[in-house]
Amino acid sequence: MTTALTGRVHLSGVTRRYGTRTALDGVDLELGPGVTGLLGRNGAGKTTLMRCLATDLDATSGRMRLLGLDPSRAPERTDIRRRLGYLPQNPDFYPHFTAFALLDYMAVLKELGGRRARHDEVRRVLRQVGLYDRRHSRVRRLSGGMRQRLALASALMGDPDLLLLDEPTVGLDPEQRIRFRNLVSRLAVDSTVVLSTHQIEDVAALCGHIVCLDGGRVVFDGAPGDLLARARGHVWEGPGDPGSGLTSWRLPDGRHRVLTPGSPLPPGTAFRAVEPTLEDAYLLLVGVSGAEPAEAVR
Amino acid sequence: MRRTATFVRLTVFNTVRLLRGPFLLPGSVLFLLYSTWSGSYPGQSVDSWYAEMSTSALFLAAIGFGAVTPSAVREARHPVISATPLGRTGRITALALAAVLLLWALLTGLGLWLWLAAEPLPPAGIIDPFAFPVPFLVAAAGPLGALLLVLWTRSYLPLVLLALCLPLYLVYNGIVFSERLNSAVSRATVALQQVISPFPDFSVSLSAVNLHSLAYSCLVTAALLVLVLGARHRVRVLVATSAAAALLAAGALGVAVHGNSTVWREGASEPREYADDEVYGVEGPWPCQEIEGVTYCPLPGYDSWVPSWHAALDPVLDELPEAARADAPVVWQDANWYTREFDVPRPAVTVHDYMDPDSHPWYSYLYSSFARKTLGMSVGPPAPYGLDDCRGTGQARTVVVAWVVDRVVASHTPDDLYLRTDTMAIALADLAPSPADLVLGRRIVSVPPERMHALLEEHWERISSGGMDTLELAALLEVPIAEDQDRIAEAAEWNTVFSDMEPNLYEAWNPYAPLCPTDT
Repeated sequence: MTTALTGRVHLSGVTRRYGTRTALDGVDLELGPGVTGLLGRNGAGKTTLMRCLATDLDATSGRMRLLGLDPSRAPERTDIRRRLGYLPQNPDFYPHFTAFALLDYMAVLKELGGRRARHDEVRRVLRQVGLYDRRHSRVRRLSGGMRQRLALASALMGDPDLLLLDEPTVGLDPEQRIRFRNLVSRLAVDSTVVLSTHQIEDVAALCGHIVCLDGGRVVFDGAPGDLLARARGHVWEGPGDPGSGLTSWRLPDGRHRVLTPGSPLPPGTAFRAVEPTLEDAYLLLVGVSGAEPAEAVR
Repeated sequence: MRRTATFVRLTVFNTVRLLRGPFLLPGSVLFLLYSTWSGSYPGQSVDSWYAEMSTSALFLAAIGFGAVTPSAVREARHPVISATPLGRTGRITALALAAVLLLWALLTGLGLWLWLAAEPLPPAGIIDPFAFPVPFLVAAAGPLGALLLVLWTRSYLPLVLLALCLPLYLVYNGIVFSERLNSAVSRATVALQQVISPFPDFSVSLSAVNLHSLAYSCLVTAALLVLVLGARHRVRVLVATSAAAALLAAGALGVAVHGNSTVWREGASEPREYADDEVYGVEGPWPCQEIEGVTYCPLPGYDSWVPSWHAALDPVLDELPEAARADAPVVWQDANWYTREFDVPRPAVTVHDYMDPDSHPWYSYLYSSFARKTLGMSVGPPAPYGLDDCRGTGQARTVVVAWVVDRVVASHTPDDLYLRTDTMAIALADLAPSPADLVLGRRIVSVPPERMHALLEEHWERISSGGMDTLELAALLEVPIAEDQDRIAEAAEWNTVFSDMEPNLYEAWNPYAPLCPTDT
């Protein structure tokens, strides 16, 4: 074991190819306890990275160490899986299971001890996600949001040291989303949580660390404050449409919010610099509508 | 150790799921009901027991084929749990093991019940231990086949197949609804049977047979298992498992061809004869037993049937003079599924291993053939299967055989006149009787038995040697007979004499057989 690798997740030059297409390109990462938000547009490589972290995919090249173990070695991979919780994107559950049976099945696979201990754990996570009352309902009878919570419950079983959540809040109502945030916040005290999402507000609410992928490369790796700092001076609000070539949108009060990746100056004298949000910072980082990402921000 | 424990827990989990599922237990109950309805009979020999086991194994395989499908679909179509310590192969194996163990438990229970239902216990015959695993392997092939289909198609195809084929098969066995469809079902059934066992039926007592059968079943099941474990893996795993499965299948084909050419001798003009020492655990010829002057040569392991044969045949001798015991033939048992080496120096009657002690219809045949041979009615060197039978046209002993058979049948069922007449007619038909034989045969039942006994005692030598003809016997009994005794009776004469029975029901069975030799 390399003593220098102090984080629970350590990736060094990890590349993953599907045939001729490169999904991950020399990714370096070091993640410790806490919630890390994984951002990036569709096809940026987020799900591939999550599957690599979940030991579901091997890296084509590079080094990975998860929880201090090497996932390319079968026995160590098994040990990693014992301490891993994974909520995949679009989980597809067997529809004829009841919620309880499904989680019991997962609990067996996660080696959660004898029947009584297993069932206690199933009940615990069902309560955590607010599905205890629907434990005898078949999966096919659950709503989309409920299925998402069920998937979350399966990932939470056994208090994993590394929790990988790929789009976990899709389909959750606002109340459930708050509940989810509280839950993840509590878990992140001791665990490493990687949250892959397009919901910037979830990242803003939960993550002390953000990793942004674009085209399979890490384009940002740092604290949310650092990302915001990079965006300062590039976000403006003012009356009227600033015209084409700039990323802008109309606000409810009729004014426009404008992102100016290339220039620190507003497009018109009436525009004033405002404090960027995380979403502004992200959009400035990766660019939108085919616009080139802001090199100045990167 | 943890992975082993997880594997065991998952197997238990799958077992509970299968038991709670809508197919396994309901299917098993339906199978038992169907077995009862269709008159499945445990039998009293190891071969009939094994035949029932084999049939049960097939049905259980079909039940397992359906029962495992939903769980297999779960693994094939909804694999949400990729990042778990137990991998996909482990999960599939645990599912297969759960299904197979459940089917094996059911088959074991069924086998025990069938075994214990035999009377007397244990069932007669010797079973080669190599025969035991084969039905279990056949049962296991059901869930393995379903897993393979589901993993490849990611669909409920096994259930679709079952829903289409099983009702068709069951109906096919009971109802003919279209010649073309029945023919198709029949061909499909034969093809399936050929895959399950490419060998004709054979006795489970013979080691050579069971070795081939076991080797074939092991190779086919192993090929299935390898294909299941390799399904939907990476290309190099797929290629390796497919190659291994092809090798195993080739081995199975080789065993089938070798077995059919050497053991079953498909297409051979002369069947191979098996000596008793080719039965598992037997050294040398299986010993014959003598009871009250009658020699019985049972197949290895069938000694428990001898008392019932003797109980059936001793009344035949009771109707004849004491001197007849010395002329009684050997009662020699042949196997149903193979040809037993015949090494009996005296005339013999052949009983088969399907003629179990409760199977009374066979007894009429036994009374008749035993009485014939006791009355010296055989020709040439001793031979099994009645190959030394002859016709007794016009001979007094032909009528005596009919009388003895009627006496013995009447002792069991005195009021069943139809059975008595039918049995007598069949006994006569075997001897190609003359019109005089027919008439005297019908009338002789009215002669007081004491008078017949006295007459037989007095004239035994002449009667049993064929020296007395039918008309002389009629004269001695003072029964006037006008009919001819020198030719075989024709259908019209049968109909006249047996006018109380259905017309054209009887005729001479072996009119071209040589006349039974006389010692005069």
